[in-house]
Amino acid sequence: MLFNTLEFALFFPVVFVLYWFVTRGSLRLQNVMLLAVSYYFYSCWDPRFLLLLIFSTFLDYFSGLQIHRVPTKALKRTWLIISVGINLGFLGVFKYYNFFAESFASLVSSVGFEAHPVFLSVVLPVGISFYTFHGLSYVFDIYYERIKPTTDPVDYALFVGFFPLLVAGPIERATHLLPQIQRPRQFVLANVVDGCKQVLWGLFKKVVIADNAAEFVNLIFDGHAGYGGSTLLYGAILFAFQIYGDFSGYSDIALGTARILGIELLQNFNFPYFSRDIAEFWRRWHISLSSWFRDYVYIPLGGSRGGTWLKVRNTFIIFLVSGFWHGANWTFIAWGALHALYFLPVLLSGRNRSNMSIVAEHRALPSLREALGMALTFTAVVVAWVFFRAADLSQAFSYLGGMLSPTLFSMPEKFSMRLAAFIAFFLLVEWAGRRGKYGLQGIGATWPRAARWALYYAIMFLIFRFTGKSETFIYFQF
Amino acid sequence: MATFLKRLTLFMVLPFTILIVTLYSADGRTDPFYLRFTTPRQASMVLGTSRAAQGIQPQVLDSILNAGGHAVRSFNYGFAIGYSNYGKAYYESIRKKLDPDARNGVFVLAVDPWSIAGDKKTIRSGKEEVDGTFIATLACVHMDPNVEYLLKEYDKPLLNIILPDPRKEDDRLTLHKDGWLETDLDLSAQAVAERTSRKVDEYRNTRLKNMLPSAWRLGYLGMTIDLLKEHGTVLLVRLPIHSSILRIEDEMMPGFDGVMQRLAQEKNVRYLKIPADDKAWTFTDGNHLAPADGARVTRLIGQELLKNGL
Repeated sequence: MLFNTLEFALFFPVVFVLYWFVTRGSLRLQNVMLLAVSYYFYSCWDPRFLLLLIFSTFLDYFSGLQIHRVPTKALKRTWLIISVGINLGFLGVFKYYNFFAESFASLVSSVGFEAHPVFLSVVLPVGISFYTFHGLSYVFDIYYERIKPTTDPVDYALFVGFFPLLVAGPIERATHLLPQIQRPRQFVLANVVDGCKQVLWGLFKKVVIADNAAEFVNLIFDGHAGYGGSTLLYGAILFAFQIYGDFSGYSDIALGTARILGIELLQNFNFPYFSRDIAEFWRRWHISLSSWFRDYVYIPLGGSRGGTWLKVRNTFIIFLVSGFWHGANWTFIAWGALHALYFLPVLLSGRNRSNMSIVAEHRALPSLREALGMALTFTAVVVAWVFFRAADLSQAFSYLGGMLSPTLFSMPEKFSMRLAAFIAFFLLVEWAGRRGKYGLQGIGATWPRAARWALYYAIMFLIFRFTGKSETFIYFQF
Repeated sequence: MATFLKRLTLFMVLPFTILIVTLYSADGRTDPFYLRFTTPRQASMVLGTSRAAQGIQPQVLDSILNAGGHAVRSFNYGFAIGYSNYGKAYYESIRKKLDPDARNGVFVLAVDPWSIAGDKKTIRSGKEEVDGTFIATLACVHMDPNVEYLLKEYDKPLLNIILPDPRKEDDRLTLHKDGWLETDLDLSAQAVAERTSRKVDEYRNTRLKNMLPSAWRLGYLGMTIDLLKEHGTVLLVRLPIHSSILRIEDEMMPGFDGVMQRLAQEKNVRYLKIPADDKAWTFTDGNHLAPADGARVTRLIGQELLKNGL
C-alpha cells in the first residue's frame, strides 16, 4: 500500500477515526490498534514479510531485556552480538548474498578459475534495511546504557512497526519515539493542520516532481548512448530532483501522517540542495540515516578525533557503508566513495562545520559566495547521482563520458518546459520555506484564510492535473 | 477536534465537488478501456485482444443477427495483449461481466497465437497465475461511474477526464458504448506503411523474443468456451492480419490453426479463419483492421453465425 494510492486514501481516514474517536480514551487500546493497522499496512505488500518483521521485533525486544538484565559486561556483549549478528545475518541473506556470490565468482574467474555459485531466489522484504536499523539502534542504546529497555512488547513492536515509518523511514531512535508511544497523545489542532499540509507537500513532491522527472530520467538513462552531453546532463539533473522529490516526498507524507496522529518523527531532509558545501549537504540529506551511521559507526570508530589517517579511514568507512546500505551493487559503493572524496578536503581543512546556519537566514537572496557554494555542491551531488542511478559501473562511466563531451554545449534533445516550470515552483516554495521543517510549512501563515486555501487548492490542482506515470517509491527497494 | 472537522469539511467541499463532476464526466474518450467497465452485465460478448477490440463492431454484428431474426445485443469486451490474453484473469473478468441469466447469447472469441501466449520468463518460472493488471485486480466491472477503475487503475492524471489532455495521448481513439474501440488514423499508404513497419519491428524484436505459447492459457481458453457455451453460441474467429505479422506468429506457433480446429471440435463449437490477404483488407498498422474493414469482417462473422444457425 503506497502513500499515493486509493488504498491509503481509504486506509488512513479509517485509522484516524479509530485512533481519535474509538480508542482515544485508552493509551493501551490506541497502541494495540496502531500496531494492528501497522501490521495490516505492511502485510499488504506480502503477508510473508510480516513473519520476518515480527521475528526481528521479538529478537530485539528480548535481546534488549537480556542486555539490561545480565550482570556482566561480557554477557551483555554476548547478547548484543547475538542480536546484531542475527539482524545483519537476515539483511545479508536477503539483500547481499547474491551480490557477494556474484562478486566472488567474478573474482575467481578473473584469476583463471571457474566458479558456479549458488544464487538465492528470494524477494527482498520491503523496508528490511529500515526496521533492522531501528532495532539495532535500540539494542545499541541499551548496551551503551543510554536508555532502559521497555518491558511492554506492544510499545516496542509499535516503535519498530509504526506504519508511517515502517517501509522507508525515517530511521527512528528509541530515545525519541518510544517515550511518545508510552505517553497519551493530545489532539492539537495546529499540529494536525500542519500534518495535513506536510502530507500535501509530500504528495506534490512525489507525484508532480519525482514521477514527472522519472519519465525523462528513465528514457535518458536507458538510452544514454544515443544522447548528447547536454541531454545527459539534463537527465542527471532531473534524477537529482526525482530522487529528492521521491524520498523527501515520502518522508513528508510519513512525518505529516504521524503528526496527524500526535507523533513527531525525526526530520529526514532539511533542504539539502541549498547546501553550501558537501558537509552541510550530509547534515541535510537523509538525516536519520546519516546520524545513525555517525552515532553507531563513525563515533565508535573514533570519529574525527584522531590523526589524519584515522579521519580518512573513518570517513571512507562511513561513506562506503552508507553506499552499501542502499543496495548490493558496486554503483552504490562508488557513489559512497565519491562522496567520501568530496568530503575529505572539507574535513581535513577543518571547514566541515563552517556552514551550520540556514543559508541567507535574514535575507531574501543568497550572497554571491553562497550561491556559488550551492551551485558547486549541487554539481558535485549530481555527478555522484549518476553512479547511484546507473545499472552498473560501466553504464555510469559511459554516461559521464557522454556527458562530458563537446555536445554538452548543444541544445538538449529532450526538454520539458512544463517540468521546468514545476521544478521552478518547487524550488521557489522550498527556498521561501527553508526556515521551516518542510517547504510549505511557513508559507501563508500570515495570509488570510482564503488566500492560504487558494494556495492549497492550487497545489491539489497540480497533483491531480499533472500526476506523472506512477512509479513506486525509490527507497522501498532499500 | 470539532473545529478541525468543521474546517476540513468546508475545505473539502470544492475538491469533492470537482471529484464527483470528474467521475461522472468520464466517457469513451477517457481511455481505451474505461467504458467497458461501466455497462451492465452482458448476455452476448466479443472477446479477445486489441485486434478484436478494434476489429469487431457489435453494432454491425447485431444488425446482421437481428436481420436474421435473432434479437442480440452484443458487447465488445476485448482489451489488448498483456491484459486480455486468455488466462485466469481474463476468465474471471469475463465471468464477472457475464449475465448469469443469459441463455441465447452470442460469444465471438477472437483467437490468435498471441492470445494464448505469455511472457517467456513467467511461463518458465511457473508463475503464470500471478497477474497484477487491472483485468485481474478490478473487483467491479459493471458500475457507472466505475469509481474503482478511475481512482485505482486509470493511469493518467484524474483531471485529464474533464480538461484537455496536455500530453495529447490517445486522442485518436474513441471507445463506443458497445465496447468497440474506434481509431481515427491517417490511412494514406505511406502512413500505414510506416505504422506497419513499426509494428512488424515490435512483433519481431519484442514479442517474438519474449513470448511463448502457453498450455496453461490454452486450457483457460477451453474453460472460457465451456463457461460461455452454457449461455449461448460460441464462435472462435481468427481475424485477418498483414502477411508480414502472420509470418512472425506462424514462427512463434506453427500449426496454430490445427490446434484451434481440434479445440473447436472437442468443445463442439465452430472455428472461422478469415484468410489474411493484404490486398483484400486494409489495416491501420498491419495488426488492426481499419474501421471500414472491421465492419466487413464483422458482417462475415455475422453471416457465419447465421449460416450455421444460432
